[in-house]
Amino acid sequence: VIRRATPRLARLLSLAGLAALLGVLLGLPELVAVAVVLAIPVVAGIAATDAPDIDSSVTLSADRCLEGEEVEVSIQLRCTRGGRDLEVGLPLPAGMRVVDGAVVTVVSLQPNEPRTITLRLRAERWGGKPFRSLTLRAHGPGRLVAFDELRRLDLRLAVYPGVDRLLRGTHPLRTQVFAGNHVARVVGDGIEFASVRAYAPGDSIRRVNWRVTSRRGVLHVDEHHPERNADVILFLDTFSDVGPVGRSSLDNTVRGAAALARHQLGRKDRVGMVGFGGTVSWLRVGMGETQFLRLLASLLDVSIALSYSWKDVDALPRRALPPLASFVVFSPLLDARALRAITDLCGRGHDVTVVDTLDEDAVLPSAGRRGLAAHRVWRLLREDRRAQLAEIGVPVVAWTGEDSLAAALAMVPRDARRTLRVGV
Amino acid sequence: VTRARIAAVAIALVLLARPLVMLHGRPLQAGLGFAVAAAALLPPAFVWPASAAPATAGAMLVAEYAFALLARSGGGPDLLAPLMGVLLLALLELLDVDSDRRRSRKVERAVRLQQALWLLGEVAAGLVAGGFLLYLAARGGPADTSITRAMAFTAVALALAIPVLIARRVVGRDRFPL
Repeated sequence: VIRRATPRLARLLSLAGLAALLGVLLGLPELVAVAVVLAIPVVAGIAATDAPDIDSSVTLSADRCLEGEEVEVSIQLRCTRGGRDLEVGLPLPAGMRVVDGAVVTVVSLQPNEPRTITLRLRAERWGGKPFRSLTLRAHGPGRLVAFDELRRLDLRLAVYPGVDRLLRGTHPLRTQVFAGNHVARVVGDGIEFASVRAYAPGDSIRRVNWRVTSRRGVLHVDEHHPERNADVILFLDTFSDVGPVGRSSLDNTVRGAAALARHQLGRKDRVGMVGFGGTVSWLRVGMGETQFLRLLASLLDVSIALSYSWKDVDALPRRALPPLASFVVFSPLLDARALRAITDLCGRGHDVTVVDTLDEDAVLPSAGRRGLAAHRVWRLLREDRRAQLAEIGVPVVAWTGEDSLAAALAMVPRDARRTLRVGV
Repeated sequence: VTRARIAAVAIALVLLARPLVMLHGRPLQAGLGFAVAAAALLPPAFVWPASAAPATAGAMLVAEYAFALLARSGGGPDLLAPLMGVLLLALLELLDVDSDRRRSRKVERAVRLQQALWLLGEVAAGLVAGGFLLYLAARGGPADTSITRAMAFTAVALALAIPVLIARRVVGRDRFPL
């Protein structure tokens, strides 16, 4: 507890001292009377002030919620000694807004009287929201001395992003060996018809195509494409975040990644995640609802960490980059390191699709001709980067979060898309 | 414009005008100079009530009053002196209230009521003590002047000793996070 004199005490003391001094020096009892009027609150206030002893606890009505939902914070207080009016402040994490109540509330506390302050908060942005401290400021009578205390809290609210249901997701070029919903390019046991070939010893009699056999006079069998799953890695470029809060490139990245993860996991794919930015994080591929929850938890911790160090995909462990995996890169295409990583992935033979999450129209040019020129150059640079990626066979689709990600992914040309090996 | 600020302006005008009423002729012109200086310091006090401006403006008002008491014609102590002290106290309080209102915080009604009651008690005690002091000064002759001065010195000593002895940890700047 820090004991601190308030500005009121300083004012009263200085004016009382001045009046008393002038009264004594000039022999004016009137000024002494003025000084007495100003000094009495000081004497009375300080004499009646006692260091407070306050018990406090803070609870959240829920430890997780969705964007846009409301939660209640209850602050329980009990003053066992001292104190008269108590200023209670709860510093809110970014992305939380008070709907009912105030961040700072001043309450009157009587000794041993339990009080509860309830705040209704709205989670306006996804993320892990730590409530780190509770500030208490107790005043004695007359508010001449303040007792400030900062109490550490260990509360965290997980605000999950709103996850869209996608009608279609990404179509990986290569599939894995496990059963899934993607029609593999190879032939094998499956439902989807692939071709007809001449009978070979060992072929099942049930696969004989009798119509072709009767026409050709030689046994022919049908071939099918097997249904397989795929490994999809959500590659999040977290080097930069541009745009208004709630609609920034990082917001689009997180919401898009969550929606795509849900869709692909629903299609029996294995989904992993790589956060590539100032800090590098990864989550190995996995399947099912548990993996979806793991992914969501990882997405909550995605943030921009400023870093000038040069990074490439070599910084990632091999398990984070499984062979034949398809990469969906969510990036605002602003940082050269992210572009380099995309090129590297492409060079390693991975199937890469880039979702450009930056809404260029939301980035306004600075005032003046120079600002306009700089803005045009910046747009040209981004266009050039998209062209560079297209040149090496990486499709780039723009998605600003306004419409469904499925619509943007539908723009990816399935047939024309090719991953090319480029020199690293 | 809040009600507290309107009341503070009205009180400031009374504090400015009251010493001038006591003066006539050339002293009035000099008193006007003090009043103008005090009036010039008041707007910053209203704009930045949490700064040192209110104390500075208050000091100027005290100086103006002191000059008027010295330069006035006529004997006997000014019986409205405790009221001047009360008005000065009220001005500082209203500036505090105005400063508080600007901060986005929710204050319970009971807190405001307690503060108002405590202030009323302070005013009443101040009026009684100041009036008693003036009564002693008006009643006494030259021999009593020493008593008055002794009381004044005691008041000064108290005013200076209290922060040193009791409120030892005086922090100049509010470092509280909220």
